[in-house]
Order: sequence, then C-alpha cells, then structure tokens
Amino acid sequence: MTEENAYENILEMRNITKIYPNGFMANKNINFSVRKGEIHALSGENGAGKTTLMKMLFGLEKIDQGEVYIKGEKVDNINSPMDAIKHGIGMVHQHFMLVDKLTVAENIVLGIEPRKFGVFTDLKKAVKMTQEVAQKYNLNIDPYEKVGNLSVGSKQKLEILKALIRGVEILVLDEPTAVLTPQETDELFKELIEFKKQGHTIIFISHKLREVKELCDRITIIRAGQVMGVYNVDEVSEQDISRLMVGRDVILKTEKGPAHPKDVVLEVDSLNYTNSEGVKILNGINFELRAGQIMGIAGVEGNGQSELIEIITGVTKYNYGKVILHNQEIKNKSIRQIRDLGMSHIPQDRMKRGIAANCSIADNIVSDRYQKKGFSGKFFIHPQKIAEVSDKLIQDFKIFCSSALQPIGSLSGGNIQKVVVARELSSNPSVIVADQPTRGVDVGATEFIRAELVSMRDAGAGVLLISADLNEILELSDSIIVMFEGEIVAYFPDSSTLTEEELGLYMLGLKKMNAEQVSFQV
Amino acid sequence: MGDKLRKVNLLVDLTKVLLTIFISLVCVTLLILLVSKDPMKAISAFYLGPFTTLRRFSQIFQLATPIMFTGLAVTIMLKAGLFNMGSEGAFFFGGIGATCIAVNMSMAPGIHTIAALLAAAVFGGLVGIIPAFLRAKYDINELVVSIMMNYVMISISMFILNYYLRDMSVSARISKPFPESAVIPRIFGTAHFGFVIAVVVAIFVYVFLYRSKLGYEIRISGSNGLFASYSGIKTLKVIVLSQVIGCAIAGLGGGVEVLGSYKAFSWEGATGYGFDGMVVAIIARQNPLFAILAALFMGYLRAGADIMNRTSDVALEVISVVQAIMIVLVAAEAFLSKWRHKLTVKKAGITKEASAS
Repeated sequence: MTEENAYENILEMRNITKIYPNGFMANKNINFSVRKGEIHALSGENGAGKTTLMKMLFGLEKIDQGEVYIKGEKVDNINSPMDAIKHGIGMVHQHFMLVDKLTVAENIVLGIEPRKFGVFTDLKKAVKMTQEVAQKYNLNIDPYEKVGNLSVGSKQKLEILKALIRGVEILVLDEPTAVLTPQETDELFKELIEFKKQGHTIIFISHKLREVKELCDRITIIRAGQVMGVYNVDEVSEQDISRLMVGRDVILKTEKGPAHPKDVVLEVDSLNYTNSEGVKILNGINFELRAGQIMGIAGVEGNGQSELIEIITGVTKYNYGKVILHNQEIKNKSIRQIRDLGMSHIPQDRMKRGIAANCSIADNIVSDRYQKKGFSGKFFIHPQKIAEVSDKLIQDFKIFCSSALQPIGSLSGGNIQKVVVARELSSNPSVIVADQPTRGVDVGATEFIRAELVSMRDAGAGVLLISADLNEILELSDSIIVMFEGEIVAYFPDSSTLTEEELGLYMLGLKKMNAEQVSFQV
Repeated sequence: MGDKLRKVNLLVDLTKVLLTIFISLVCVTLLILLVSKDPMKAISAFYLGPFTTLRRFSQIFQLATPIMFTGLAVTIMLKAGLFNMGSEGAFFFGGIGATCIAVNMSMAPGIHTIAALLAAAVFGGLVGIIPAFLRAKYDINELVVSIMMNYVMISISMFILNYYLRDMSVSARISKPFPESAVIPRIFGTAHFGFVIAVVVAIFVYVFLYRSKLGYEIRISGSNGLFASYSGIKTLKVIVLSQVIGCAIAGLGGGVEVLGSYKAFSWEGATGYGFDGMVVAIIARQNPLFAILAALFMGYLRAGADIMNRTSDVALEVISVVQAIMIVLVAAEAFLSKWRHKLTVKKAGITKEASAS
C-alpha cells in the first residue's frame, strides 16, 4: 500500500445506491471508477443521477448503500465538503458558490485565510497566494477584482482555483459548459488539458456529446440511476453514447413546419428598467412577437432576460417604455388581468414559482383558473369539475402519478414540469412565455414539451422562448434576439441558418448589430 | 409509488403523534413519582379521575371547547403561512365583546346569545386587522405585532370592563352578571352547547379551507406565496382575510367561553388559551377535523390535572410539562425521520435487488 502504484484507480465508488426522501431512487447499485490523471466523463440525461452521485462523493448527500475507495483505501467518513477536500476531492458546481461582494483573492482564501497576528486576515498574502496558484496553472485572473463584476467564465476559473489551492487532486466539474459561450468553453478545455498534464484527475459531468468526444479519455454512461457502460471515448461514436444514455435512438429534432406569423400580439417598446439597487438592467428593449411565431431570446444568464420576463408577465413593474399585449398597455394591470388577456407563463424555477409543493396536483393545475366560471361559484369551488379537468390533463400530458390528489411535491422533476406546462398551455393562451421550459427534464418529457410548444404555435399562439440551451433555442425558434448587458445586440428574423458559434459571438458581446439591424420596422 | 409513499407518510405521522403522546405521558408519570408523597393516588387521579363521575367527565368537553376554537383560528392562519399569535388577545377581546351585548342589552333568550356571540366574533376579527394590515401594507412581521397586540388588547379589555361593564356592587373587578337570556345552556355536567358550536366551526373551517375559493387561495399562498402571486392570486388579500377570519374564530371562542362557563366576565389577565391553540393546531397537523380530537385529548389531560391538583399533592402546572414535550416532539422534523427514510427505501423495493446482486 505504500507504493505509489498499489492502486489502479485513484477513485472507486462501489455499489452505490441513493434514495431521496420522496422515494425517488436516484442511484441504483452504481459502480464508478476513475484512473489517475485522466479526464473521465460522467454522462447521462438530466435526472439520470450524475449530480447525485457526485454530491455523495463530495459529502453533500448521504450514501444509502455502497462504499467509496480513494487511492485503494476505503473511505467512509465523507460527511461534508470539508471531509471531501481533505481527501483531495474538489467540486465546481453548476451554480457558483462565491461571495459577490468580496474580491477574487478573498474568495480564494475563504476558510483557509492566512493570518496576521493570529486574528486578522493577511490580505497581501492572500493576493500573493492567488497570483501564485494562478500562475502555476496558467489562469489569468485579477486578484483585486470584486467577484460580482466578473464574467461567468472568470467566476468558473475562480471556482477551479479555489479547489486547486486546497490541494485537490480529483476535480469534479458539474456541467461546466452549461453557462458558457462556445468561446469560453474552448478556453476552459485548454485549461483542463493543462491540469491533466500536471497530474490532476478530472471528472467531467456533461450530457453534451461533442464536448465529451473532444475532451475526455473515458466515459461512464448512466441512465435512470444505473451504469450503462464504461468506454474509451475514442472507441465509441456519438450515436452509441446517445443511444446508451437515452435507451433508444432519439433525434432531438423537433418536427416543425414553417411559421406563418400573423398579427403582433406582444410589443415591447423602448423598455427600460433600473432595479431597486439602482443598477440599470434593461436599456431600450424593442421587439415584437407575432401570433404563430416562436421568438427565441438567447443570452448568457444574467444579461437581463429574467427581468424582461418578469416585466412582461407583470411580476415586476417597469420604469419607462411600453409593454403592449393585444393593444393594451400592461403597466397598471395585475398579474391576473394580464393572464386574462391571454398571457401564460412557464416560469424558470418550477419549485419556487411554478407550484405549491404541499398541495395536490389538482390544486396546482387550477391555480390560474379556479376563479373562472365552471370551476367555482361565488364562494365555493367545484371539486368535480376540477377533478375532471385535472384527470384529463394528467392523461393528455402523460403525467406519471397515482391520482390527481397526490401532493405534487412527491412527483419527479420532469413530471412536475409537465404539470406546469399542462396548466400553462391548456388555458388557451395567445402569448406563451416559456422560460427554460425543459431545464432538468428527461429526454422524453423534453421532446414532448417542445412538440407541445410547436403545436401551440401552429394553433396561432405567439411563443417567447428563453433558454440557456442554445440547441433548444436554435431548434425551436423561428426568429431569435440576443441579449447582452440589458440590450438587444442582435436580431435574426429567420434563424434557420444560424449556428451556435455565430450566436455565441453575440452572446459574449464580441459582435453587435447596429440599431438599424435590430430594428423590427420593415 | 405515490400511493405507497402516502401510506408510509401517514403511518409515520400517526406513529409520531401516538409516540409523542406516550413519551410525554411517561415523562409526566416519572415526574409525579419524583415529587409526590402518594404517587399512586396522584397518578390514578390524573389518568382515571376524569372518568370517575359524570360531572368530571363533562369537564373534558368543557375544557376542550375554548382550545378547539383557538386551535382552529391558528390552523387557518398557519395554512396561510402566517404565524399570528394574536388568538390570545382576540379570544380575550371576544369575551369582552360578548359581555358588552350580554350585560347591556335585553333580548329574547337564544337571540341574545347569538347576538352576543356575533359581537364576540366581530371583536376578535378587529384584533386580526391590525397585524394583517401592517403585514400586507408594510411587510411587518405578524408574529411580533400579534404578540405585542395581545397585551394591548387585554389592557383595552380591562379598560372597557372597568368603565362600562363592571359590577359596582362587588369589590372584585368583574362584570355585571350575565342575564339568563344570554347564557349558553348546559348539555350535561359542566359541558355546554359551546362544544357543539366548536365542532360545527371545525367542520365549517374544513369546508372553508378545502371547498371555498378563499380557502383554496389560502392553501396555495401558504404553501408557496411566490407561486400564488405568479398565478394571479392576490396574496395581500389572503394575508388580511385569513388573519381576520382566524381571529374572529378565536374571538367567537372567547364569547362562547364566558357565556358557557362563567356567570360574569371575570378574567383578570391572559387566559393562555391562545397559546394552547397553537398546541392543538400543531398536534392536529393543521387539519381542522383532527383539531376536534386534539382539543378533546388536551381537555382530558386538563381535566385529569385539575382533579389531581384538588385531590393530591401534585400541582396543575404538570400539564405544561406535557404540552412542552409534545410540542417539541411533534415539531421536531428529524424525530422518526430515519425510520421514514428506511420505510421509503423499502417501499421503493430496492433492498432486495441490491443485496441479491
């Protein structure tokens, strides 16, 4: 055991099983092993159990059954990220764990601060430590910059540095490219290959096959909580991987005929919004959405898309400019009045804004219409009518549940999203705001939801689609606008020939159209 | 899967309540053994006392009545996601409201009672308006305001009692006696028809929460306020109305209590029923129908403790020990959670497969 090569795998997870309190079995008897110095891909559909497995490794979730071996030795005391780091395991999460108000150097040394006189944080030393580690790994970052001012790509760099400075040997990256533009992704890959050269081991969680092919040595594929196989990446094709991940040949190509745009249903005219902290979020936004059209809004998260959606749906009030829905300005209308005009909204975060988890599926389905005729009288609701409608939607949208009275919180993420989509698409809307409609949803449900959106378009609704998934935006949209720093920097009336790379240049702010090009005036 | 899971949750919840009751009773028994010179006598008075005579038995219902009202009041507000502790003040103020009508007006029997109880509900509802308004308008935490309001409401009540309702012919600070026409008639022993009213209100609250539009809005807003507003529900309205209705029920409880159990308004300070309502609502797991059972159980414990207090050397305060233990155990999410997880794992049907492979 004292010899360096006494173990074949630097990390081994044996027979791992994890069941969540709601009864969902996220991992079933998983065996996962990683060799020293490789980049190992962990792939599977959303909800397949990749993140769960890594969370257990990192001490964020308890292992129900199974064992973990690091460098050939059994480890059974990983109860917190601190324990994991002690064992040389670091993780970069999809959502960054950084303190925006502190500088880069302060974030780096958080928890391991160099001390002055035993009490004060030695900031000079912190800066020096940051520069040293950044130099060692050839990462370019300013130690004095406030983290809140960093781009997403730099924040990710910082997260990686945070792990490296703690002496981490195994680095877990959870879908690191999800928030990056193609250009930032290229840079990340160069860095990762550099780490590999320096002897680090990397676990790369991703379901983007092209990236796996480009970067990784081996791949473990997980489907529905079970391992489907471990392969050398250059010995399997993208099609093979895809089939193993999904269990059938899926073509994530949504059937879609040409659009037939009609009248303008939603018009946004020189919209400006400054938030309560005085930060200008939206600056002169202009666009039109027509009936029978899917308009995609592309952009790196945090460039004003969320705020724009909240304003259009009436959650946030705007400062100046106009939002006109069916020829009526919505500024002084309540959310219900806006919904009654035909607006429907699939919110980004379903657990926070899309459902009431303790209430039944039926209760959640009628939340936008319980007050309408048929569903209730002056004081009382009509349970029979509600049951009828919920049962029908459960059937139509293939929601997997035991009955409409089951608490919605006990369903899987994909089924919860189907309930939200069922509600929002069944109210006969003329404008649908779909914010990340397929995030964290399995392939089957994704296909289904996308097809539903297209059929709503064909039936004459205008769809505003916001997605971090470039593939989804390109696949579904008829026209695309790109947002960068609160402005529309590009408008493609016909997006059928647009590529991800081209879109990426605009999303990053490297390219920008002039006012005339983004104008909707014909 | 969903069905199995529901059964697991029901089983665990039920076991949790029963185990909670059991543990707290064991603790009380041990406590009695420790402090009493004649523990067997005290223990038998506590557990069996309420069943020895009809009069003692009737006490269970009498004592369950006020806490059922406050329990239901708390239930409605908790369902709306609000921690309003104002049912104490509302209960007290409701008692004064009922007294005002009872002693200052003369009406036909029955009608007099109903008028007095309506006044009690209105007075109670008034108490709910202030924290509700402050929360809805300025987002001021209702917990703090409602607790402070309790002292204010009790003082205002004492003022009204002193200057408008007081019986000057006696030295104690009590109201003029209630006329026969306003008193709530007895069923048997000391149990009065207020108990029946409480049960009717419990059923009303159930129907209200699960069958009415406003009840629906309350449940959705309480489960997820952000989602409710995204759906177009006016959450401010829900915040105000749920507290007004909740406090009105507490106020009605105060009216029922004074007209059913007293000859005149004679409270001198907080009754404690408001906080007991919290216990009832929590033990009943916010279900209005379970609140009936929870209140009866609490009534039984109180009747027993009262008898033990009178016939042995153990004081009434023992009951607070039971209550405290029960609250801690019922509120403790982690209590039995391992067992719940184990059952869930088992129901998911994997242990077998995993060990087989």
